[in-house]
Amino acid sequence: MKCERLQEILYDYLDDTISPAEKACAEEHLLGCSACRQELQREVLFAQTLSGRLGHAVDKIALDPNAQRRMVRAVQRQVGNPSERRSFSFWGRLTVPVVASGLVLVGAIWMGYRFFAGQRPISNSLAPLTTSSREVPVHDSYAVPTYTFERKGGVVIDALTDETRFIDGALLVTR
Amino acid sequence: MGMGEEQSLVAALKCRDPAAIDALIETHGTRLLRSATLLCGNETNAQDLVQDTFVEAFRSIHRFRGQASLYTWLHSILLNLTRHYRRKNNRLVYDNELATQEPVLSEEQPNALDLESATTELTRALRQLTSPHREVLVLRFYEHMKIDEIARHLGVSKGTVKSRLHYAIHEMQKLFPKEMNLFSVGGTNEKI
Repeated sequence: MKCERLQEILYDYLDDTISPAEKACAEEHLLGCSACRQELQREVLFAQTLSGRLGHAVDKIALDPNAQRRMVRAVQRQVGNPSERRSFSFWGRLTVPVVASGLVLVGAIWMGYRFFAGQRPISNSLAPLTTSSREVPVHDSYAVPTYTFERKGGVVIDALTDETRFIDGALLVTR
Repeated sequence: MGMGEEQSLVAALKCRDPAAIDALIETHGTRLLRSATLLCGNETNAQDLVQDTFVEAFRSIHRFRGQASLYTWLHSILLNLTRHYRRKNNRLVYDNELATQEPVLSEEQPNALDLESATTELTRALRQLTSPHREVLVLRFYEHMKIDEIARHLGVSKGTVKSRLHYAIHEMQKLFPKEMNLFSVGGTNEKI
């Protein structure tokens, strides 16, 4: 085994996760290579030191009873009754798509009805129209005003006259 | 906690036994809190994360298949929440800013090489690492996970874990004061 290979499998060697054959090769190499032995020792010491110091950094930290109770309450509050929650969660997940599909379906039916109803009234609605509508004669009159100006000497005389006109016709009245 | 006890606890949690919530938090709360503190650099935020971890765990306990230990499963939830929290919450940015500031040492400890100051320096250096590098260091040297366990835990390859670990250690060497160099323990030039 070469030094490069040992460097590659150093962590696996330390973890003892390599095959027995490879482990034997590594140990044979370590016996004859002081540089790799030194590297191995460095890793072991580093691991021990860092582990110790990380442990020391947080070993005074502990979950106090108050925090523990708060967490228990939080779990109970947020999770609630699990069977109900699961049930609610299941139906909750179904509610939105079911309601949405229902609305789409109702909308489609309504639109279809409107479409076909919109076609039919032309023929259907005319029937009642013709039966219930009738013509009513209309006689009306209106006035057409005329405003005239006439100069007489140095005076302008204006006059408003209107002419009455008469019309006759018929209106179609429907109910 | 033995395997049998753990299985009983999981079974009770799946049956929604309220007493199991206490047992779960009592058993794993402190360990998770310590790990969360190392991951996010702040004990207050860590408490929130641990609380959310338990809520999420209880909510999804039916998905726990027992392929890993209960603690490992809880820790994977914690890790996801920590990442999510880091992305969403500016408070952690504030912590990182604090971490980049020089530590204030009192006059009584100008050459403070004792364990306390070394630990302070260590946590400060840890906070300055990027999240992926901090995660592998914490998993490797605090959670004592093997490389393949870390790879599974993080959902990355073993090669990625080794690469991140290598880089993280290199960064720690740069960030950690030379007189407190982690590699100086036992002497790096000693021959065995």
